[in-house]
Amino acid sequence: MNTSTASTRKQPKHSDHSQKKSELAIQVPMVWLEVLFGFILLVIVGSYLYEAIKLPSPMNAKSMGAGDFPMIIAIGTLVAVFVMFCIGLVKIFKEKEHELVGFSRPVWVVAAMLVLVALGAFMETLGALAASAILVALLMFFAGERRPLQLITVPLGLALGIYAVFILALGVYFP
Amino acid sequence: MIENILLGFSAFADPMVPLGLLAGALLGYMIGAVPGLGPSLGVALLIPFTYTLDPLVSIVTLVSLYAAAEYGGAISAILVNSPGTAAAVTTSWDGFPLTQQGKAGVALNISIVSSGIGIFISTVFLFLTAVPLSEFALNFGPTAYFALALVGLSLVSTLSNGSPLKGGIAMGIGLALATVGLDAQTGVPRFSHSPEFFEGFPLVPVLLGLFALSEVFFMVEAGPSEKTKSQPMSGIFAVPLKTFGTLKFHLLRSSVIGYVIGVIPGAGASIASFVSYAVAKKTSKTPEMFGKGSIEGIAASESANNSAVSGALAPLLALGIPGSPTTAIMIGALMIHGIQPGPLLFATQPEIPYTIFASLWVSVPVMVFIGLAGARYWAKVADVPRPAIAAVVAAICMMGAYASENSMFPVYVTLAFGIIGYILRKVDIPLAPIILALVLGEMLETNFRRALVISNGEFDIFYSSPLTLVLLLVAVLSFALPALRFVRKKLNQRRHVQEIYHEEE
Repeated sequence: MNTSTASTRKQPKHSDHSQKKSELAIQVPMVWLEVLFGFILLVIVGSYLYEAIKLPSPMNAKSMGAGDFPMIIAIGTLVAVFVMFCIGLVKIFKEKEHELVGFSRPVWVVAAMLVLVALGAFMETLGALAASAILVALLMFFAGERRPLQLITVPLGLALGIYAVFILALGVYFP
Repeated sequence: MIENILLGFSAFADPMVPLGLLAGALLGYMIGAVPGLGPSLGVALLIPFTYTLDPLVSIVTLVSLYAAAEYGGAISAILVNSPGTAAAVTTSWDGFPLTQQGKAGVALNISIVSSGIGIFISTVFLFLTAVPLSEFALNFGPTAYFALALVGLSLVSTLSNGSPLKGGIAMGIGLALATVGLDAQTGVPRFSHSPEFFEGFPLVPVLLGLFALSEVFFMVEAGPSEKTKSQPMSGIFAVPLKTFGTLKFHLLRSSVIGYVIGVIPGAGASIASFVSYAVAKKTSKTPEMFGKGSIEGIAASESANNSAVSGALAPLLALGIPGSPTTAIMIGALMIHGIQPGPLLFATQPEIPYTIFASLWVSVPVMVFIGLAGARYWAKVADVPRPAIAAVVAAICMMGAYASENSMFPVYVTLAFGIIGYILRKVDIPLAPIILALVLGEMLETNFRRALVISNGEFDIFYSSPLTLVLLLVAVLSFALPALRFVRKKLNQRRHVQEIYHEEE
């Protein structure tokens, strides 16, 4: 009989719990998100339709041009987005209670996005291995890792792993 | 046919092929065991590592990872009541109660062996159906292909999450993305203000962004993972063979259910496991045990969700239509190696589909052994701190995107789609239809335009063939039926409110 061990989740300690509770969390009604996202999408799909209309017509009047299929897609999508937008507006005014969408730790999520974009922009200057090590360390920190040993060893180990797999084994040339 | 099967098995003479299978199985178990990561993300992350490999080795590695990730999802479901994949939710209903009763080993054994049996049986079905289906599909014209692609997209869009409207929007976004680049028929650049977009959006960076990088932001949002404690796991090798004898009807029925549901685009492993679990409960002599630690429930759930893997491969291989996000990602991996799935694949490159069949069969004993022998280690994988997983996934995304074209453009695409994917998931827009539409968009447009050229611009070509007509009807109904159900539900609610109002008056 095998007597190895399994893991079962334990309730977090009170201090961890209170620390998590103290972190900023935003709750936004889903309908608000739908209306906002719907409006942005209406603008994007509208400009897509405008670009599609500008595409040249076909030589043969009976065949489809480069812009005809995108126009069908744009009209279909515009209708769907408009319906979602209108339903959202109706719900905002008619319903009193709305389904909420949680954004936990929003500052850290935005910071993670900014770091990824910044390291993408400077990857060629920094070099891929250095950029990935910095990225890993910062992302771990943003995701809540506070143990110094982990913050040092994981990025270094991963940079070495990337070097071994991508550069030595797969022969990829990195900047 | 026997020759082709032998051809498939002969691929294992190359030591890299079994090595790839082993690597895929190990990685799949690891990815499946971590809640939040799943087969789609696993396959997407593995693609960059397969660029320089032989196509056969790559595809065997990816297929074994796909199957093993579905196996692995059950581990955390049973041990920590946190399903690694959506398809393992029903496994947790009976698996975790068994763990609480000190029978975690029994639950793991039943789940792992049932998964293996599911894969084995469904691969027999795959072999028996995919080949005739591909031969039948050789007669398809542009209208049938257009309708088939539309059916695939419609079903995925309406089945992938609760709202068909949001599924439709996702499909529209994906199709719009697919039109970016040079028009295949006229050579006119469309929506491409920079020459880098002339070839359209590169598939692998889009996949990495939408599926993997967006998950990283969710991990950052979730913060550090909770600590876990160890408890004895006994009985993993103590399940007698006759136990599986008593489960044989459940295993066979669930494997068939899983395969059939897996073939339907958009349905997938999670629906298969739910349906199979419900049927098993209905047909069981001890339905009262379901939800309290029934081994029948675990066997039904696990054999069905693993059978769905083979089911999802059938339309991919025979028709070139991916039916799930993971197979959509796999089509991208195949295309990187110059392989075009579809009916011609069986005639031009038979070694590819037959090696896939062989690898699924060979993977069964390998995965059962790895699963049983390493159960305690897979249990530990769920303990890896979430921040480390998030950071590793992000780094692989960036490096993998760069390696796809040896340029920075795919890195920017990955970053952009990572952020877009996070926003879309927050608004509850499903990602699967976007990927499927991106993959199938060109096929859809090309066949639509080709059909109109043949018919001299007349649309009656789309309803002159019964097959096309039926397929188009299915596509329309897939959107119309949920909409009608929604309207009926609202009308019933209104009627109910009015009745209450009249009664009060």
